Amino acid sequence: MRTTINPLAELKSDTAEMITKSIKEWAEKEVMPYRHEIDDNFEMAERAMKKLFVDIGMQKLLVPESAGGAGLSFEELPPILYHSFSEIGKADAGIGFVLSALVASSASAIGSEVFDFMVDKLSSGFCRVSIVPPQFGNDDFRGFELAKAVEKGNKIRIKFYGRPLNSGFDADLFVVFCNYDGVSLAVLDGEEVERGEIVKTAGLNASRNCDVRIKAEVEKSRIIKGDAWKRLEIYLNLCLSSLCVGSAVDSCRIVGDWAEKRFIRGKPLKDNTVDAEVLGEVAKEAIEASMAAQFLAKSMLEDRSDDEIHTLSAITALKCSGAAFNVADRAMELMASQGYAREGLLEKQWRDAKSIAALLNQQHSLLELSERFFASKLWER
Amino acid sequence: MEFARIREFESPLERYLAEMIKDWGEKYVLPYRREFDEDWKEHRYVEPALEKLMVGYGFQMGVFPGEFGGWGIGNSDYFGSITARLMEEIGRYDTGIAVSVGVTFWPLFMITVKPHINYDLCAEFSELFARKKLTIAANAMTEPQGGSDIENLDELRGKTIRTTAVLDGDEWVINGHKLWPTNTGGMADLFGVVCTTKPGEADEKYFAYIYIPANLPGVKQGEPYRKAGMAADKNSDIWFDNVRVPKHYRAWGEGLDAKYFREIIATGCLGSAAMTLGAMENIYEILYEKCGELRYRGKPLKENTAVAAVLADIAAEIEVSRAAVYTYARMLDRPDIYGERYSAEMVARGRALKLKVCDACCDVARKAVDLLSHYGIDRSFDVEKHWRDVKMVQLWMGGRQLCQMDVARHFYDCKQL
Ligand SMILES: Cc1cc2nc3c(=O)[nH]c(=O)nc-3n(C[C@H](O)[C@H](O)[C@H](O)COP(=O)(O)OP(=O)(O)OC[C@H]3O[C@@H](n4cnc5c(N)ncnc54)[C@H](O)[C@@H]3O)c2cc1C
Repeated sequence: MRTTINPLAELKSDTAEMITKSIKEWAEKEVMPYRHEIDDNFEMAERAMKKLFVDIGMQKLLVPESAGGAGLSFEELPPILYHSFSEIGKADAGIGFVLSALVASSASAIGSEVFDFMVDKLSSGFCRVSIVPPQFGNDDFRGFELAKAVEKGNKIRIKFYGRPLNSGFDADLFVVFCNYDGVSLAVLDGEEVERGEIVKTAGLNASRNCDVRIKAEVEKSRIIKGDAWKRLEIYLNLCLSSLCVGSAVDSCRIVGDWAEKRFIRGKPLKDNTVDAEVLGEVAKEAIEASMAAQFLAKSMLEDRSDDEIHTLSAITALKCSGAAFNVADRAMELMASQGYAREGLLEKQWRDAKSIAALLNQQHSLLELSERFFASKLWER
Repeated sequence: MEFARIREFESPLERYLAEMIKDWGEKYVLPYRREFDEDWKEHRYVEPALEKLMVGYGFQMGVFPGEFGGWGIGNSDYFGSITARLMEEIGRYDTGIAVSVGVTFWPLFMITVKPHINYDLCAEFSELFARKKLTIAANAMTEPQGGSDIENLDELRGKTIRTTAVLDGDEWVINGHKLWPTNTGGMADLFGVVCTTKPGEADEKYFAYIYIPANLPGVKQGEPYRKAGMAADKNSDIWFDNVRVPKHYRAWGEGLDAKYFREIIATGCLGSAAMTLGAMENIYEILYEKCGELRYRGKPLKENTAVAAVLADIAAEIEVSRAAVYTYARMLDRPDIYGERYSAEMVARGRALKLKVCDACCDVARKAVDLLSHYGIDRSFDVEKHWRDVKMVQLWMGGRQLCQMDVARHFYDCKQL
């Protein structure tokens, strides 16, 4: 079964290969044996996360070598993220989702004063970072509501109530989209955030989320101004896209095994044309997603504007999350009860992929694309 | 908001039952619905709700003819419409409970629906269901090697069934292994079991539908399986090991069992479509409320044209689905006009209905989750629960592909499918 393509030559590197190998071993040892139970047992997910984040060092990809990290540069990062998140997506998209937020947040902070504050956290044990994106509510920023940031002497007072993207219940750091100087990111210590009860969700169970209340006063140095939010979104989109590629490939693997072994009308499922057509569609989607994610990773190595990459990353994330969901959804069609059963493993990919797709808010992203490519005036008041 | 249907065809009994279900759903399901997912194994919340409906409100006896103390749904001139309405109204609250109730009636349809009412078996089994105790039936078709081929009667004619029934004097001796039937995992009191009297033969005369009380020696139900959704329905393995039942527990006999079993397919398709219709209506109700509350671009979500267009698509799907469900239901009401419910034509129409309405429902649920974004995947908004639950309705009874094949076979006169 070949539902993957050889990666683009530009995306190959020894470091990427080494990290991917470690992730593969991690998945085999820490996730795969427990995958059907992991959603009911957060401790299992947490144990696996700790190994990936701390022991393998995925939370320290951007931490300077002097502070015990890998000290990767922006030139090295995209291929490594593509390969490593694709690998994680084959095992547990929820864990990859939590890591995506951490990597994207650290990438957004590089070069700013707050980076050292983050490095301290990232290099002193298991760490989760929660992103607090704009929310349904008032129209502060492209139709959504931002956390309020008000200057108070030398400090900035941040006020917010709502739902983070991920890990609100467990995060050690919060990166909050706020209305300071246009749009900025405020980096808060977990202790500055009041948390509600864990919300139960359809999937991505490694990310325990809750509504949070923020009423914090922080130094100005904790605010990242300018286009940092765009960089955060670019890296988040790359990580999530790659994660979804992995998820799609895993769903293909699962349904491929099934279609080989399961007999319908006296022959393997895959030899019935109606089912083979579904398998063809599933393979097409997975490969398209992988092409899109690789194109994004490669584009990030080229000399392109942040704006262009930002747009490309949004398109790629939509494409890949949609593909991961479609692949799992159509694969489930062919696996029927076995696909729907927890032990069949597919249903976890199905719930996780759908959750990522829903969180990416497709409709809003399409409006942003229309604004960019057709100059639609959508945000003017 | 009531979605489209021809109201002239609504029977008084149907309206009355719908009101009872609403009363039950608001009191005994909604307050506990968010606990159902964790309750998949124990049914600490599910079972009392089911018991209330079946015993408290009396639905358990619904299909038996009046002379046996039932409501006579099976011999009513509104059989299809009432069945659809029950599934629609229960499906609004929970499709898992809907299938549990529907599948209790399902095997009994073989013997309680006119013109094929088996009075002897009705007399015997109605006593079981008349007890003031939750009594549940299961329809055991699917086997480890596959469910679709067993339901693919027109092509395979029972050839792949491995559960055997051998006549020994006045008793059938049953051996076999079934899996997945609704209401198993220890719940069922009575099974309707699809068996073969000659394994490997593709001939409908060997297709046997035999009732097996769950408390007989040799019957074993496994532990319930964990699933993506449908927590209110328990499913497990069932083993029949030299189980002996009286000869008259075979529903009808050679040829007739397969013939009336097609009606099981037709009603299963109607019930599946109707319960997903109910789920869509509940999704609509949730969206109506939440898209008014959540704000985007300075106004309620629903006042944004891009969102309104999706909401419109959702409403349109429900509108057309409801019209289709009740059209088919009405056709099942009137075999005198539209032909026997077990005819190839009515089965194909049922398959077409299930295919279309289940696809519509999965699409509606998917769009609703997307619209609400992080609230869409939040279990306290209930939309994602429907999204997880209804997927299985699309997949069961042979899934989309068997539906497609049965529809193509009939509507295009295909000979080799
Ligand atoms: C919640 C739940 C409730 C259920 N309730 C019941 C019940 O009450 N009674 C019962 O007996 N079973 C029940 N089932 C089982 C269900 O009906 C079967 O899963 C279903 O019929 C498909 O069978 P299978 O899973 O064995 O898949 P298979 O039969 O192996 O089919 C796999 C796939 O093959 C494809 N396929 C099917 N037919 C054809 C064809 N003719 N040509 C080409 N491709 C085809 C379809 O994509 C199908 O999904 C239930 C399952 C669940 C999860």
